[in-house]
Amino acid sequence: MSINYLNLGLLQSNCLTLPTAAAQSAQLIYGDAPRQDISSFCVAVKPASLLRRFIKPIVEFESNFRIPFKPLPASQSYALLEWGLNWCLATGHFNHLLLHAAVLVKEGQAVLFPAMPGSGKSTLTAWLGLNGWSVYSDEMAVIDLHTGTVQPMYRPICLKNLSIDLIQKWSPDAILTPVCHDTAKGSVAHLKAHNWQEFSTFSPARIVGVVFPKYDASATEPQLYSVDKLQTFENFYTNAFNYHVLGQASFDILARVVNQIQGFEVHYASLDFMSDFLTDELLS
Amino acid sequence: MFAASVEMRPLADNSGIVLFDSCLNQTHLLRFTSDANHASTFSPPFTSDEFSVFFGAESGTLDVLVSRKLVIPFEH
Amino acid sequence: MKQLELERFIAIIAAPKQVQKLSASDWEMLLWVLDTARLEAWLNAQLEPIGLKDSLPATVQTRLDSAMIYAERQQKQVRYECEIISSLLSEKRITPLFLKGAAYVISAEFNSAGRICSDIDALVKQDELDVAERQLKMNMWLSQDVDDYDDKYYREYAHEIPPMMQAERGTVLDLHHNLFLPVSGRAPKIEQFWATTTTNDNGLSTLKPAAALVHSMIHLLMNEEVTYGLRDCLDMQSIIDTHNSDSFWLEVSTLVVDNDFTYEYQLLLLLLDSLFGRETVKQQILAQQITADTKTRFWLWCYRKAVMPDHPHLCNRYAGVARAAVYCRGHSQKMPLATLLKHSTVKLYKAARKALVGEADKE
Repeated sequence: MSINYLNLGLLQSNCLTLPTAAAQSAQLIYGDAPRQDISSFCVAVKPASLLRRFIKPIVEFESNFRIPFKPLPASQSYALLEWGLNWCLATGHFNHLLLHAAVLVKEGQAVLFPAMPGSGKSTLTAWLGLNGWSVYSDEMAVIDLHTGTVQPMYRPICLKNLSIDLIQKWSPDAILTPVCHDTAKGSVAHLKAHNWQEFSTFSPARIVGVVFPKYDASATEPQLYSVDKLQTFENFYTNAFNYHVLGQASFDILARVVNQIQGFEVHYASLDFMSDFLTDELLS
Repeated sequence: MFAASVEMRPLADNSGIVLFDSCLNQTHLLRFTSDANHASTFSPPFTSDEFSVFFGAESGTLDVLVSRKLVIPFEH
Repeated sequence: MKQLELERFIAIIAAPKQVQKLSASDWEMLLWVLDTARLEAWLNAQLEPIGLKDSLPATVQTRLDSAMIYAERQQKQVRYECEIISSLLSEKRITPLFLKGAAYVISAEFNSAGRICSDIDALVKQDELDVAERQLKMNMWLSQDVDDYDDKYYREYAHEIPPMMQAERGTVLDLHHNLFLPVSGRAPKIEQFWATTTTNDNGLSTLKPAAALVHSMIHLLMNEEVTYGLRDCLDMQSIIDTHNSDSFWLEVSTLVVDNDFTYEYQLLLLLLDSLFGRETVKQQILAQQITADTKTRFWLWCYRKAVMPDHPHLCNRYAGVARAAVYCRGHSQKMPLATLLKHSTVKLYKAARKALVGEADKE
């Protein structure tokens, strides 16, 4: 089985070659998307050398026939492909401001969840996606430089460690790739949040809020803190993938977006609470 | 050179202002504070002299900000 | 794997409005090949002014826009860095002269739309080199890590010091005192180039267009690597088209003849004619009655292939042979044979040692 193209919605990448297991995962995640006429990138994951094809096999990621990273164990091929696609976007797509954040949308309104270690963001993103929210992106918010709206991307959610087990428990029918173990982030699997039919209904959404979630199992009651706009701006621009290349355009749109949204830090133990909070406090 | 290239955006909740120097491609954040002795900045810290040099004393930027008590320069 | 035929690719570069006939898969291949050659933004700069861009497929417009945004950001950075370098060196009463990509970006004499320039090349006088290097080092420009042999190569054999990198911003500066290696015996009379210094409105110094053309020619035809050779050829064709006049050609000829680069100059004109076929070059070939003997036809064939981007989607048969020939020629131009043999032996030994036991410890 081979998959020749990866349609991410926003753009498409040709896929020249993948190891069999990674090709199967890619087919699972992207296989139902139609082909766009022209691809923007061309990528591949292939054995790093003839020798290492057989002995402790390692693979490397190629973008336009160049290798930007060190190789990884072949067992992590699919994860490497996804990280590689992130790299292609971050270093080669300057048409939008790309922020390191998850984007969840309901009723045409978007909430951003900046990527913070230990926040439980992936679990939260996945759970919201399985419970009525549209996952526009798991890790990369795509912001229109003129309107400040956020565009959807057809990408899976990257689950790590315990969140893999949780999602499987909550939603046994969820479409998950096989787990890659011993990655730099621990165990990693990718969840297909939506099918192409659902994704086709997503349109650019107005950003209404930013939430810095902090999962705290010991929290008997959730705790809410207001985050001021200066802190929000600082978090966004230091965690943007291409802010410095876009320069003034990214500054302008980020200032405009930050001025229009509310910011919260939420310490939570209950996902139900989070969903209610987002709906009640942020959606108008 | 520098003063002419700086854009300022006050933040709507009065938490501070964000500045962009298009000449140097640098972003600066200034937090407003009620403490008369210092203002904290995120990146990088300024003395009032540095602020004048950086943004151009002749532009009046610093004076305007100080006179409106929007910014209290950071004295080492 | 699908490929673009070489002649078709060259025809598109020579006359970009031919892109209107491209199929979807041709577009994909063209943009990836151009990306490798650092010419995506260049293509945008050719199509936008003639109103062709709006009729292109949306994905192509997006790619070209993205490339242009990156190029413009780079150019802004280059302008800033040149001002900083100039300002630092002026404290020691040294006026650097900016070369090639940096010069094209900072001077209105050159067309730099879409030009990507990753490193900055600058020229200072040989007796100013040490002071310049020290001044830069004191201001967070660090010499890149090279071993003792390479350091000696740069300083003794070559016409430059090891590259310097700005510690905070990562910009790389190559500081030269000549335009070609003194050890080669073919380094030009650098005072002649200094005499053409132009100070631009922004206070930064560059070579006059005729001298810039000759420098670019030396860089292309006297070096062993021509990785961005197509871009260099486009730079030179642009200088010619912009400044085509009797006085321009007289200045070029004077520099060429005085510095014994007549062969390279004729080869260059033939190469540019074979790539782009412009009247500006044809007229000079005619006027100077340039003909190609067997040796010249061989090198013309080699360079025409070697300057092309090295990309699996570009069908360029025997490019490996051509690049190998250019490689040998470049090395033999740079050093007398005895020095070349000694240099090659050392480089081979170091490469073999690295392959066997990894990077050597710093001494």
